[in-house]
Amino acid sequence: MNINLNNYEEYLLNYVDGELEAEDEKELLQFMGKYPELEKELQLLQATKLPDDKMVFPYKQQLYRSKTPGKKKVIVLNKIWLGAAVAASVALLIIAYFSINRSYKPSTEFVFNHKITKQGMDTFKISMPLPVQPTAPKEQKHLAITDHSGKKTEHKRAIPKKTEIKQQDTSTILYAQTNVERENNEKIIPIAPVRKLFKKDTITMLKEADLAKRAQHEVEKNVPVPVILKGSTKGNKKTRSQSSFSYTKEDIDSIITDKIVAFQHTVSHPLEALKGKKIKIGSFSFVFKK
Amino acid sequence: MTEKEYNQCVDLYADRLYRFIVKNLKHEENARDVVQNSFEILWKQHDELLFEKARFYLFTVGYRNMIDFLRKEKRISLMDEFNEDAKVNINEEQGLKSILQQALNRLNDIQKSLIMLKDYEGYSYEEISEITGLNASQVKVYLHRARLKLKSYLVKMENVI
Repeated sequence: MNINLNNYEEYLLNYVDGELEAEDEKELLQFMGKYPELEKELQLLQATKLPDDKMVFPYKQQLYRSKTPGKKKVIVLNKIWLGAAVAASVALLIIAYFSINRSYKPSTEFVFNHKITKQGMDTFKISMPLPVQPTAPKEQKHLAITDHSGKKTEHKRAIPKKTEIKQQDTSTILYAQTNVERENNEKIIPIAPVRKLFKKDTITMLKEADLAKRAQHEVEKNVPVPVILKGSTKGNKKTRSQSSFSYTKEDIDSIITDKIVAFQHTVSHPLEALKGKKIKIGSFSFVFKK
Repeated sequence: MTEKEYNQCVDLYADRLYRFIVKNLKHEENARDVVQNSFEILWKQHDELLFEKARFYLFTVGYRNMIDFLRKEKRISLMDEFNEDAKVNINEEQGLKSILQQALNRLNDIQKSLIMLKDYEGYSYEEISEITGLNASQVKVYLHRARLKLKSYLVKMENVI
């Protein structure tokens, strides 16, 4: 027996920390039996143990990762990214296209490719469904519009031959197109916050599963999670850069509510450089929120 | 560790790591950065790491990162002292939990971290030693002193109330 009135405190502390060997613990309890006045001391020490205090990390969605092609990593809009993006985007405007139906089902991921001539946007080709507009603005005739009832072969034709879309991307496009849900002649409207276009641009929308996770998170935590699109661009050496941008669900809802008649929308953008800017492509124009 | 296991780590440990960091840094943005950095590093290393070691790895990386933050702010205190000047603001309605929280805030940064690693995470002296880079004897001594200070504060508050 090594425990005595001179060293019992260390035993008590080890006991409270759960670090006593079984044998020592037995000895301590026997010792305590002889000196019941020490019970209060033990109780006080035990009271210093922190009770469980659950906290929630509110940005967990940004931590999930995936190596699976097509499941793109969600870009974290943190300070580092913003700084880099702002620096890289002095002359850069950003473009994204995604189609959406009125029930806001983020039903697909799609990757697409488009081309542009030196003269501007008039040979802009998109391998994704575009609205069938009876009174389509003049500029739209330049777009490679794929009818919503189109079959795969038609979609394939819509993909520029000389693009560098990988086979995997191409199939993704076809998958996306064949899974777009529509009712009657309901139009699907591309939304295009824009920058100057470059060849080989690639825009990726989050997959349905990821969007569903984010939506779930919104509901559970009551935290608005922006829908994030990732866009990567490959221009010439001088203009090559990568950036991303986001829409909130509210943005999308408001667009849906307005039925996109005027082709002018207000969207959020994290880049200070873009705030307040109005950008046009063809008949679509976008105003970034200040 | 597979990709799935990594994502499991997010589910299992992100909240816990955040609690540990934010309670030490008392700055949500910085705590968020530390947590994100820690998971970023975990992701980079996930192929080499075992899932069973992930929590330990996360806390080690997170702790070191947090200490860097504290050092940058030049407010880390390695001195073994109790902040007697901290304002006492206790009323009868406050429970033991809030009194304990006040007492915890009076410990120096290292002691506070050790107490949290022990009580919240249940790490052994040896494990805490590996996480913090202190040796096991130091961990034990610092923890015991911290515990006694918390006890003294509780006694003091008990008498006040």
